[in-house]
Amino acid sequence: MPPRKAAAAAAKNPPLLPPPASREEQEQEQEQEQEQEQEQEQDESTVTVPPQLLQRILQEFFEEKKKTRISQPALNATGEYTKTFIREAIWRAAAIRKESGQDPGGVKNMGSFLEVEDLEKLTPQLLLDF
Amino acid sequence: MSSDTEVDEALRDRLKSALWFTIGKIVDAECVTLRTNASPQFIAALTELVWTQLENVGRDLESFAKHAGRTTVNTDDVLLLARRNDGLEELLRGFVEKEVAAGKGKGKGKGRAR
Repeated sequence: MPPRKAAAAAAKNPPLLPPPASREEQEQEQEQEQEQEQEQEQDESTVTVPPQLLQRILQEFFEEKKKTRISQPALNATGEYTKTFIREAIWRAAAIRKESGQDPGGVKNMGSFLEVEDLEKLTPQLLLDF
Repeated sequence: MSSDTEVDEALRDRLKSALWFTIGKIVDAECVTLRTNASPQFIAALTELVWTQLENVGRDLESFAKHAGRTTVNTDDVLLLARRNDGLEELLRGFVEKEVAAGKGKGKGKGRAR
């Protein structure tokens, strides 16, 4: 019986590649992937300095390295502090960059790369705020 | 003694590299949100800035704890860091309270799992 034979053959030799998805399906998949990436990015925005790293850095700066310790909740809170500090620096730099970009006669009006000079401008106030 | 300081230097360099890497990741994430880019020099300078800030933070925390007659830094000391910035203090206090609440709910949970 030919139909059965064909089915058996198909079962024996399953196609190596999945049947090519139609373009719509592919686009849907890509959209889903992009959505997932965006979700990951949202996670990324909550990236903190790893607690272990922070602990070792702080420990390094304690004057009595062997005596002084830091509790886990305190470490987490310091992580939040550090993250806020870093994000604040980036956002202020972006604000400065945006402002100077709007200046028509600005010599530094090339692309929207955050530069060291932006950081130089915001550092005094940032350090006063933290 | 000299070998000790050499080891110290090497350790600090490694810690700074790790910090650099982390800051690079945060900058990348924020730049996506802000639709901008950051030059590598910007990340390097920001790393130096954060490193210096952490140097002060570390010494401050130790002093605060010592002043309270403790050798262990706790959350009160961290909140003292933000004593001159009401907004920041509020943010940190909220964070600490949330962590405490989460800790009570989960028992001895290890914070936010990543």
